[in-house]
Formats: sequence, C-alpha cells, structure tokens
Amino acid sequence: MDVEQELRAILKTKLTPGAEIDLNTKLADAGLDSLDVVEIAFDVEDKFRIQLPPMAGQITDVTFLDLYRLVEERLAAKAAEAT
Amino acid sequence: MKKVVVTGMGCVSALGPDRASTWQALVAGRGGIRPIKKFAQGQQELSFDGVAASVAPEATGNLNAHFAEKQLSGVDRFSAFAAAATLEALTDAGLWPATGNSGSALSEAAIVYGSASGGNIAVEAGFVRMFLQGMPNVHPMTIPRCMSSASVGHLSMLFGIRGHSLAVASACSSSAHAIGEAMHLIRAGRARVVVTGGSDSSLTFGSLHSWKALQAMAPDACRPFSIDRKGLVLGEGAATLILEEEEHARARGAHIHTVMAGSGSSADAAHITQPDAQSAAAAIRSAHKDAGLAEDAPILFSAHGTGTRLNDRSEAQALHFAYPCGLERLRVIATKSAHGHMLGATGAMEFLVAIDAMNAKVAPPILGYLGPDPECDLPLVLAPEPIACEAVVSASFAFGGLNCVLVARRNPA
Repeated sequence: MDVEQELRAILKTKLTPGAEIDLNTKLADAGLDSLDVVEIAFDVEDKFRIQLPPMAGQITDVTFLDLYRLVEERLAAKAAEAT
Repeated sequence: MKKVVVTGMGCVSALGPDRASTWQALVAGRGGIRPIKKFAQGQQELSFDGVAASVAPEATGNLNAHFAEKQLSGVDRFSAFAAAATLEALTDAGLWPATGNSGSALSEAAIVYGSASGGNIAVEAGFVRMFLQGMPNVHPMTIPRCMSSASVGHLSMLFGIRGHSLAVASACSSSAHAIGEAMHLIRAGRARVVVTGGSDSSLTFGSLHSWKALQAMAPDACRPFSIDRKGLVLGEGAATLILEEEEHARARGAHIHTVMAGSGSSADAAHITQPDAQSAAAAIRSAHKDAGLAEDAPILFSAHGTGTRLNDRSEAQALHFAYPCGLERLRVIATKSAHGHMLGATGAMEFLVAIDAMNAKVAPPILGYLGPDPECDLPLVLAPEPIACEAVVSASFAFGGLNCVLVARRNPA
C-alpha cells in the first residue's frame, strides 16, 4: 500500500476540484476547514485501521507531510504490536 | 395584516421528481407504493420485507447541475429531498437562479421547514458501525446530518437565505404547522418571502421495523376510508411552497398559484397515538374561521387519510362534527394512497396536491379502495373527477394529538 497515494486520494475528496497539495502545504492553506479535517481523519482511520489524535484545532499548523508522517508512525506502531 | 399568496411549489416523492410528474401520476391513478426489501446497512442477514413508496435514486439529480459536489457532500437524504423540492419551488417562483432582485429577496427570506424524523440514515449507519461491525467510532458528520434542522441549514446555505430560519417538529403535522407559521410570519410583517414545507426520509431498516412494531403498517396497500383497510404505508420525499406577501409578489409580477387564506391548530391533550375527533374538528373549524371561509362553501378536502382503521374512523367523525350543515359540498381526497405517508413532508405534499387539483379543476382519485365502510361515510373521490371548488382545506392529525389544518383559496385574479 502506497501511503502517500492513499492519503492524496482521501484528501482529494475534500479539496476544491483541480486543487493540488504538496507535502509542505498546511491543511488550512489548501482550503480545508476543521470539519474537512475531521472527516479526512475518519477516512484515514478507516482505511489504515489506526487511530489518530484530534487534529481539528491544528489545521493552521499541520502540513500534509505531518499527516503523512503521523500515519506512517501509527502504522509502524501497529505492525510492532502485531509482532 | 399582510395578505399572503403562494408563488412557488415543488415536490419530490415516489410519484416523481417534480410537480408535473407527480400530478400526472395522481390523475392517472398511478401510485408509487411497491414491495420493498430493506437490509440493515451492509448486513444481508437482517432485513425488512414489506411495501413502501420510495423515491427513485435519480430524483435529486437536478441538484448536481446547480451546486458543487462539496456543497452536497454532507447532505443527508432528507435534506437532499428538501433541497430538490425547494430548487423547483424557487425556480417556479422566479426567485432562482438568484440574480439581482431575486438574490436580495432570497437573502432577506425566511425558512420554516418541517421534519418528523430528521436524518435516520446517518443515525442507523452509526449504530451499524458500532454494534454490528465492532468499530470504535461513528462518522464525524453523524450529528450535522441527522439533526432535524439539518434541512433548514442546507436550504439556507444552498440558496443564500439569511432571514429568520428554523425547523418545526410535530410528527406528521410538521410541514402543515410549518406552512401555518410561515403564513403568520408574513401576516405579521416579519418576512416577505418564506420558504416552507417539509421533508423526511425514513425508509430505513430501523425506521421501517419501528413502524411495524406499532402494528400500524399495511402489508399491501394504503386504502384510506375503505372497508378492510389495514394500515399506513410509509413514503418519503419533500414538498416546498414559497409563501409571499401579496404586495411583494404583485410588485415583481410573480405568478400567484393561490391565496394562502388561513390555518387552524389544536392539540388533543389525550393520547400519544389515538386521535380525538372533537379536537380534530376544532382545528378544522379554527382554520375556517381564520380564513373567513364559510363551512358550507364548496371545498376540496385533502384528508389526512392514513389508511389505519382507527385514524380514518376518527377523521370521518371529525368531518361530521366540523360540518354539521352536511358534507354535500365537500369532495374528499386522500393522496397517501398514492405517495404513501411522507411523515414530516406529508402535510405540505397533500396541501400542494390539493392546490394543483383546485387550479386544474380535477380531483385525483383515492387508490386501493375496496368498498364503503359505514364508519367512514364521506364524499370520497374514487375516480378522477371534475371539481369546481372555492377553496382547499388540508388536514394533518399527528401522533401526540398535534393537529393542523390549512386553507387556500382560489386566486381571484
């Protein structure tokens, strides 16, 4: 599973059609609001079967890269737990 | 006191995605009740088998031509119905698309909109996730989707309506009460344009089973006032009316469908499901008084007519109490037999249909009728028939004993 591609696909459902997002874009700067981010987090949790911390209040600070690293970190923790 | 007129109407139901298709089905005696098998979401083992009047999936498709995907993404089915009916009604009223004068009229407009059940689908999806799928959480849009005022919020956002806006909940009278209150807002000078009506979408596994548990559901058809009637059949959808101050409507040259003449209400203070005929009659009399409509005027009466044994008997008694001069000048229609019981939308739907019937001078037939019941001795319309009525009286008698009756008069112009 390519985590970045999966995340991009989830983000795309909330972005304005045609909008691009690079790794250093802050979520708020991509036009996402706090409810969008909560929905994105929900979809990410469902897709990867992980749990993320609350992020709605931090959309002006969190970048796509932060989200990507967080997911990688949680996936690694889940894999470690399973072994 | 300001005079009130109806300048726009729209609806979506099992009969069709708009007013024209609805009317064609009704006068042709084509009902929308079909067998239904409804599964708990994602579960093939749990199902409901019965009949219902479902809205076709493509019925709200017109919304996609007017609004962006993101605007519609958090919209529950009952709010989508409200939006589709309102899009038709505002277009009909000449207030949509919102440009120039119509934009400012909409910006100042109010919304009074009914729902009995709100977003059942979102709630049930949450239950299924947690109880059947063992997931630890529910979708974050569950509350924004299911709250009973979600439809009002979406109507405001989609159409740019910024005035006094609220939802009305009185079970199966919700949209009738909403229309009555909308009329009073205009009469009082608190709004010049009000978007009103109601919507509901309750054909879910849980909701259907809940109605079945009440032993109020018919296994085959809704047969209002008929011998051997066996109960109600659930429907879904929405109906919207644009109520407008008469002066405002005439100044902008709007087409006037009818005069919104009055409303009357009562509460039984008796029983949560069993109706009270005297109280229902009081609401009818109150509506006549408010509208200044004589009780012996030629009337098209759009009955609540659920098709349950006790409700129809009580409603028939109520009519005899309310019209002691006799029922000779009445013609009674009961269109739940075609579009099903649309719950929070049903009062608005039946009022809308009656207005169209008055203007077309044709009354649509009651479907599923098997023969006369001596307990329901009413002048029923059993085949499409020409009518010449002065007004329509549309009755809604809801659970909780919450009654509302609406009156519209033929537009004299």
